[in-house]
Amino acid sequence: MKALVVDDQANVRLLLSHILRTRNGCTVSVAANGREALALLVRESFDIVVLDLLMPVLDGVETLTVIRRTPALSQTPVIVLSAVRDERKVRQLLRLGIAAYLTKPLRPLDVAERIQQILDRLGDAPAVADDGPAERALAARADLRPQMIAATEQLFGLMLGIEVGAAGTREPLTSGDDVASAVLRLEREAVDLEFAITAPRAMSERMTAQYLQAGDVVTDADVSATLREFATIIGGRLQTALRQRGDVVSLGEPTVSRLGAEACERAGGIRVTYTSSAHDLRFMTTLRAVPGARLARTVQDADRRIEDPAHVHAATPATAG
Amino acid sequence: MYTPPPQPPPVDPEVIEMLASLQEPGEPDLVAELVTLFLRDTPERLRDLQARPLDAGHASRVAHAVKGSAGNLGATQLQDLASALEQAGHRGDSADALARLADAIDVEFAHVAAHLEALLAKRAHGAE
Repeated sequence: MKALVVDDQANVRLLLSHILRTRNGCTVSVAANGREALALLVRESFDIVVLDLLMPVLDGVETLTVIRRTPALSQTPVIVLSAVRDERKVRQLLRLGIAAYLTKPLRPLDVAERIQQILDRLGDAPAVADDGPAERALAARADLRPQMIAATEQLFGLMLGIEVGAAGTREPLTSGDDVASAVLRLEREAVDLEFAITAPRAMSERMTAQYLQAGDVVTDADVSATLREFATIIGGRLQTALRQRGDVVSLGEPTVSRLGAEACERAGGIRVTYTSSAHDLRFMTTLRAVPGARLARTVQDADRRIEDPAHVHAATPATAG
Repeated sequence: MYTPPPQPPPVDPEVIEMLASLQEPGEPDLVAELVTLFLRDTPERLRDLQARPLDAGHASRVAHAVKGSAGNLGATQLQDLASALEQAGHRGDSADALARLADAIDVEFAHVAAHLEALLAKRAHGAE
């Protein structure tokens, strides 16, 4: 693996290079600012870039913007490592597309571990069956998997202060789970993509309670609003990634529903389970391809379920009462 | 007789130990290299904080860099002062307030530098 470290501070470059070389087995090049980095990136191919934010000449956001707009570099994983803790800045980075956001001062062993997780993920082969146009459309976009994982992990850390990580297990979808989905309409294809975050009811309430901070009343509307916001943000990140690939894509209005008997119909797609041992959380994100016509019906169904509470109870006998 | 409580060292020994634990056999002394770079680069940055009146945006950027490199070596008090100056610059605090923080950073850097130079000498001696 070839890594590029971009930081204006010589001691940070030295320490990061040492970690990447000795702990992660990378061959490392360094650059002191964004301009130097871009000059190297157009000459050589790198598997991963570790980027500082505040730098002279060309800062981290400007550099990342150029990287994402350059077709040959747009898919290069970029880890941002910075002492900046500005939420707006982090959101801007998430929209541009980053593999991780790590804070300074450097905790070298943590950095080595996170970088190793990301490098391992790069080598993951997604399990997508190639048995139909929808599956083929999804398989062609299997590289979205690490971006879906990174966006989800970062969002939980950023908005809820909960560290979650993708787990190796695949959980079945269960009747009664809350599911927030956002449709990514692929304009040039007969297939659309659907991103969904699926959470057991108890977890939805717990994470919303944390979001609203202890003591606030948690209602179904709050749970829905949080999940919908999550689906919008992660869906937006996937939309950006798709556009960088050259897809013409628009993000539909997210919907929230509760899984009923159709739970088993939603099997398939790129499915990732997340856990947080500290908070005993377990939830899932999925990205699946759906024929456009069927998807439209699915969205309408979900809308109807939200607007009609009686329908929710009718569809989810497991959670009634 | 009153004995003042011991002051924490200007550089956290646990951070230095952690950095030393990253050392690979047969490679140059990582701690010595990191310390040498810090002692080489930081005075230049601090000279940028000597201008009076101090420009808030410039002070903030310089302080951000000092905060990061001090934190990496466990110079906690220096890191905190640099962080305070960075925030003060962001808030647009008065030039006087910025200058007071810049002066405090200078004083603390002198402590840190003396400590690190002693550490370098000790490591060089230990290597002989």
